[in-house]
Amino acid sequence: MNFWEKINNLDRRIVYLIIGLTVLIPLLFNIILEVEPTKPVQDIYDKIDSLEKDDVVLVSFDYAASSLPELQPMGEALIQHLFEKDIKVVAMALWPVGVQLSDNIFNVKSEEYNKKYGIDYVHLGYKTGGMVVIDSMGSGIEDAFPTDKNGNKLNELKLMRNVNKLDDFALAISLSAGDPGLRHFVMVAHDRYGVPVAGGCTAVSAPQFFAYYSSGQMLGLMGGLRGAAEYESIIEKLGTGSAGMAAQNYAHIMIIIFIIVGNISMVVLKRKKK
Amino acid sequence: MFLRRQVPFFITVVVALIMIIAYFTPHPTISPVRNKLQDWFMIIAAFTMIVGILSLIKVNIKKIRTASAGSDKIYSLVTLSSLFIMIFFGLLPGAGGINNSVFKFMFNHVMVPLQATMFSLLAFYIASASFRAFRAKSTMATLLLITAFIVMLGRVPFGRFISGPHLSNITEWIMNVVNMAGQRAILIGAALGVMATSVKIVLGIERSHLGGE
Amino acid sequence: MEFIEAIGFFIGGFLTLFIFSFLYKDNPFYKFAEHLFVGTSAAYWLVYMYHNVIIPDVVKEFISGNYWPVIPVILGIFMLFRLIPSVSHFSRMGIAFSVGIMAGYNIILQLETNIVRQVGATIARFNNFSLTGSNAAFSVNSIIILLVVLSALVYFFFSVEHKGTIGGIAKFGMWMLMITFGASFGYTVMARISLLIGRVLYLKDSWWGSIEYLLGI
Repeated sequence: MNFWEKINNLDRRIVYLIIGLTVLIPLLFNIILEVEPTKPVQDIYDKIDSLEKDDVVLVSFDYAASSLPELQPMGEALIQHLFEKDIKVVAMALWPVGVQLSDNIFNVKSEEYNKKYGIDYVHLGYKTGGMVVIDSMGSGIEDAFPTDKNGNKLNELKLMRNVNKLDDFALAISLSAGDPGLRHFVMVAHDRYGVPVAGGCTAVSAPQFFAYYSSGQMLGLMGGLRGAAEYESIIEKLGTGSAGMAAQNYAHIMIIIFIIVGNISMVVLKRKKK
Repeated sequence: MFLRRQVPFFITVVVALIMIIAYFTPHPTISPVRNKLQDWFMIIAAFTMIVGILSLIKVNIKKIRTASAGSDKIYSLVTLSSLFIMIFFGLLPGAGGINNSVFKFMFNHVMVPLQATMFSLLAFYIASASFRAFRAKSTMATLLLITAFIVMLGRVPFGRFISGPHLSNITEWIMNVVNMAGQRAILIGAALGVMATSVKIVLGIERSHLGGE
Repeated sequence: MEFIEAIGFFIGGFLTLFIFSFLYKDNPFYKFAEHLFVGTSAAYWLVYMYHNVIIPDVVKEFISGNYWPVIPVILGIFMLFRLIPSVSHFSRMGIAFSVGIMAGYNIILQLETNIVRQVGATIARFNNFSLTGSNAAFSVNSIIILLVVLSALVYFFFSVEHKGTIGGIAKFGMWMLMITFGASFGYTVMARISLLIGRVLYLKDSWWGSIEYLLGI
């Protein structure tokens, strides 16, 4: 078997090992690479920065642990920015796992910024129904969420006394791994109720949201780990997003090398057959 | 037959028409009905999830009773015991509900690592597929791969390192112009398809959800 | 790091490695982890259904004297009949209700969000059309976007044979869709690699940190 035949028949476990090491080594050396923010991410930052101190923002954590590395850093950076600006936050989730994952963010950030539950932030919890939940909030938040995630009636929470319907929010942000999620916030919150919508999504679904961003139905978009890293660099608090960019860098190069080598072996072996 | 076909079809049509009409008018007759239907949908959707979980329990109990291989029984026992232990702590009265410490421990240190790692295996599979399967066998496939290369390099710092702002700018142009336009066409096409199917459901032409032809 | 947290990360790290062992070959450790995942995921969903949907939307409503939720509860119980073949046809009512709601929403929302506003945005780009001056690049892009959207839509229109002019436009559309899919592929690679980065960071920081804590290093 010549060299190119060996390459063509390379055991996939060697490929796994190579990509594993490509990701591991930069992370072991703690190389942090800052990234230049792009306009869709900058637009989210600018919108939040323009909000007044007691404005209320809705943040929906519509993801599970399968998208944790991409969306959790976005959530951390966003909540940090919102708390820094003393903007009130109402959290919810259209995916059940999003509740606990967002709890992990609030537990840390509320302590860091001395924010009180019920006054500075509230978590409505999870509700089944996707876009029906969002539409129900349009006529009244209590219609969709009679209580918060811990069973407290909404009118017992100081923050919720000034927020009764969806369009009372200054901004709705969905961190979304799929459906239900960002698409439904665009459809219902923005297109029906006129609430400005921004979002974060996995890199897999980011390309399709450019259509909504371009049409103005979304005012900003963070796509994947890169989006999280960009937001972290704007707020000048580098976290997991930025920490991963070095590994992302080298892994992309390696994938390109794999594709090129695979194609060269195909061409060489094809010519040999002829 | 009436219960099997006509009643479900009647439910579908009435509910759909109420949602359509209520979208256009906040009339006091129709809005409360729409709100009720929305509340009911959320409750029924919860029961849909419960069907899946009961089905899981049923399948695993069957495996424990009938499987010939001992290992299959053990794995089913693992599934059922983790299910019931976590449910026990999550539903235990007066123990904090979703804030129960054992429930949260199992979530944070068992479920999350497992789910996250399952999906991280995709990184290895895409690497293997890149090596073995992504072949530029036609001009179109070559165009696809070249675009992918540009986007992959443009979105990481290496792109800036090799070409300054150029690769990044080309990537932004591809994403905001060509990709955006292509995605827009796909969105419009898919929306037309979904709308057509929804109209067919309301008119009774599409009855697959009723178990029919 | 607290002791319980360290134990948790220690367990989580090993479960992570059990899943990764599948990359070498299928083995009992992977199977154990996989079945554990299925059980805990299902339990989590059920507990959340109970606390966030059944209790506030059904139980508390009944207690406060509102008995309307009995209807969706009955329809929901009918959904459970799906598991019993002799009465599974009752589940069609719950399904019919859900399908009706979604059909009602989709007819309007898909039209507005994904058709009218998208078409409108494509056309609105020509508001300040000018091939000279500061708007030139924007205007050229607007023409490209219009051509790509139209040609891709022609490509998807299979009721007319793709021959002659239509065939030419469809072919151009296909070329543009290849660029779209190439961009999607690039982003997909980015997404998948990110998932692995997350796990490696977890092993490096949380798991290794727990080992150092527990061994007193």
